[in-house]
Amino acid sequence: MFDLFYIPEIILSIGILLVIVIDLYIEKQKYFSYLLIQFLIILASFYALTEVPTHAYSSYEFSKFTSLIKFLLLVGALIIFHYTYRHLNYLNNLKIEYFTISVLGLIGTMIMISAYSLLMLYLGIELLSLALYALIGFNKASKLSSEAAIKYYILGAMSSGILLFGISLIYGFTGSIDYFEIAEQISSVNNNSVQFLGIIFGMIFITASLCFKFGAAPFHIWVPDIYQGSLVSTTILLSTLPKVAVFVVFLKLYFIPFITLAFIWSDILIFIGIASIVIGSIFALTQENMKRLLAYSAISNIGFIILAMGLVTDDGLNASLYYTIVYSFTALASFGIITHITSNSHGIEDISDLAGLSKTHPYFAILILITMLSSAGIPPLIGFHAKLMVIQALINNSYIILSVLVVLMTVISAYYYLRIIKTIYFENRENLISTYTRNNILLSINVILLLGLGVFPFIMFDITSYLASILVDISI
Amino acid sequence: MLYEYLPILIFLALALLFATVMLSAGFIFGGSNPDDEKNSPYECGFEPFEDSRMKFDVRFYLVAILFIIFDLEIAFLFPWAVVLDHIGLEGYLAMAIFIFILLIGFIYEWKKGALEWD
Repeated sequence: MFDLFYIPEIILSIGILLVIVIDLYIEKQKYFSYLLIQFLIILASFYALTEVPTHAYSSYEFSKFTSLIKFLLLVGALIIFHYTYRHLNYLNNLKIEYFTISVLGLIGTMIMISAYSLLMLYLGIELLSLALYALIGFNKASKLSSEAAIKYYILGAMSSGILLFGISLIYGFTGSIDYFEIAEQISSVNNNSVQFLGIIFGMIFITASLCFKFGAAPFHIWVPDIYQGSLVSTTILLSTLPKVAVFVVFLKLYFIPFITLAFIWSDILIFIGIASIVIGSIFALTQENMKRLLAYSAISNIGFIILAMGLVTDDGLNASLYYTIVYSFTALASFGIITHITSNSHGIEDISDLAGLSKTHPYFAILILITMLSSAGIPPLIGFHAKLMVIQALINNSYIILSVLVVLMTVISAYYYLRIIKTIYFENRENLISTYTRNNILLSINVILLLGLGVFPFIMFDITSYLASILVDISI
Repeated sequence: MLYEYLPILIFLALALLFATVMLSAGFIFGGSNPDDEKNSPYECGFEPFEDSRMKFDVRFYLVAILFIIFDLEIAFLFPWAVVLDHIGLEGYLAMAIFIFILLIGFIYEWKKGALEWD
């Protein structure tokens, strides 16, 4: 009974309720409440790494894989909150509620990762989405922010409805919401029966909804608007933590209950992946707004992840895990830099705002240079290895034409990453950028990791192949 | 089978009778002195006839939202109370945690001044 209290989710949920009450009584000392939240996250991440609870609950799962992913998420949240605090403080928009809501969303992502039944999965997704609706609309002074929040709310509610419809179909045709029982039911169903058709129908509904949450191609329309409308600190949160969680949900759903349907979902995922890469790369070409550009870049990155997963092979699985971790690292760095740069006391909006950064802030200019080169996939950096692994997996499975297409799109996307670098180094402008700090150690470490892990890629290979091997342990 | 619905029929007949008697008694014995104000439809706090796309105080929304939260709590409490002897201590604790979380929300809104009108 008492080892229940060492579960990171429980620590976070109880702790955050305490912080809400404490913050009411010491409203002036916001820094103290902020430190309390950071301490909670460190505590939770510590317990995520140590002994895995031996309890097995129906519909909730603890394993080495989920603990490690949770640890990664908590560390990510720690870094994001560090950036966010200074950013909000600078914009005079600091409220502790921002952090408490973020932590609730974080709990949602952890529930999604551990979920072992479809209803628990729905609960996690809903908790995450509710937190995100509030965070996106946090910047009340901006019309774009409210617009983004309403858009995300309406579309998100609709996609939740679609998810529930899919779940109800699966439940109706298999009689269970438990992952393992669904897997057993599906493997015993005749391929020509009505029941089989119903299960596929349900699976496609669930796929559509999850692709919406992921921001993959046919369901990507919300991504640029929401990224643009929300604060940069919210955008980092949106582009890292939920993506990792949804990725794990994808893995668990497709490789446990729906594994016998692989011959159907494989084609769907490959199509979604290719469509995301093409749309993300081509639409980003004409963007003038920095956040919109990074949003389209996120769409094409998501495409790589889904494409690798759709191959249903070990190297595809490895590549998608590798790509997810690298993508989160890169997104953390690129949005992190933008939170640190402000143009005359409001955040950077357009790419042209960045002109002349190399003169005033050579340190930040170099960080952006490294991050953008990594995203473009230039060899010594880690982004190159991630793209290489995906393309290699494609070639190994004899998707030659697709791999040529992917390489072409990578070349096209290099154009807009290089355009940012060109603006920073070769253009000037009158009113120069102001920043509230000249440097940040965490940010530097993050960017140096992009370079360092790129030079020694085997460290990351080992980590992801270890993750992939312990993932196999849980899936039957 | 149909016999079991007899109480409902009796109930309906009684309700009809009661309403007719009350209304007609008022109509026959009560005095009638109509004017413009009395004849216009009554709505609390608003002009009865105007453009429906008007502005009204945002605090109405706040009160409505706070009400909804505690109203939903009742909706959970009723089915819980009915099956309490089946779900035992576990069910009791689950509801206790739920109420506790709501309590923290209540402390929050009180302390933030959401319950004060001015």
